[in-house]
Amino acid sequence: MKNNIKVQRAIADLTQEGLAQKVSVSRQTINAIESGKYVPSTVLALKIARVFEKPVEEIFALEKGD
Amino acid sequence: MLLPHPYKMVGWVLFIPAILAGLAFTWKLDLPLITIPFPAIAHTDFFQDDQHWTITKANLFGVLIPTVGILGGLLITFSKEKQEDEFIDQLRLNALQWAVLVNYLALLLASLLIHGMAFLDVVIYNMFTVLLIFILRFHFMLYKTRRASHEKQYQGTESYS
Repeated sequence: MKNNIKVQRAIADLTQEGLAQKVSVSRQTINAIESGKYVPSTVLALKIARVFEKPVEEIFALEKGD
Repeated sequence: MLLPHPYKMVGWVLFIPAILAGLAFTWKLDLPLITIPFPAIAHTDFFQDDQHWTITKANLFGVLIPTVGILGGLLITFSKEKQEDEFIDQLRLNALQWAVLVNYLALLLASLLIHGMAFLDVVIYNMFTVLLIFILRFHFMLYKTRRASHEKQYQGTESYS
C-alpha cells in the first residue's frame, strides 16, 4: 500500500510529530507508515484522513503487490 | 494483556540477578545449599526415596532462581512501553513469534547435537531463552525504528527547504 502522507503534511504544514499527536500515535509510527514499513489500521487511516480533511482514498492507495 | 509500564523496571530488577545466579549455578559455582520446607507435588533426588504430594526439604536457590527469573522475564515481556500504539503492538507480536521460532530451532539443533547430562543444561537455559530472545529482539526492533525515524525526520525537512 502506498500513501502520500508526506505531501499532505507539507500542504497542511505539519511535522511528523504534529501529525502523530493529532492522531494519538508516536512519531515512529507516522515515520514507519510514510516509509512503507507499516500499514496502519483502518481506524488510524481514517483518523489521518480526517486530520487532512480528505477522503481516505486520496491518501492511501493499493499497490500491485497487495 | 499488558501490565502498566512501571512493572517493566520491577521485571528487570528480578530478571537480571536471577539470570546471573542461574548462570553461576550451571557453571558449577557452588551456591550455598540452604533447604526450606516447601510443598511439593514431586521431589526426586539422589540418595533419597521419591516423594509426592507432601511438604519436603526443597533447595532454596533451586526454587528461588527459576521463580524470580521467570516472574522477572514475564514482567518485562508483558509490560507496556512508555508510549503504546498499534505499531508497537505489532512489533511486540512479531518479536514474540520470532522468539518462539528461534528458540525452538535452537532447541531442535540441541536435541540433535547435545546428549546425556549436558542436555540438562540445555533444558535449564531453555526455561528462560524464549523470554530472553523476545526481550532482545523487541528492543532491537524498537531501537531500529527509533533510529530510522530520526534519520527520516531530517531527510524530510531537507526537501522542503
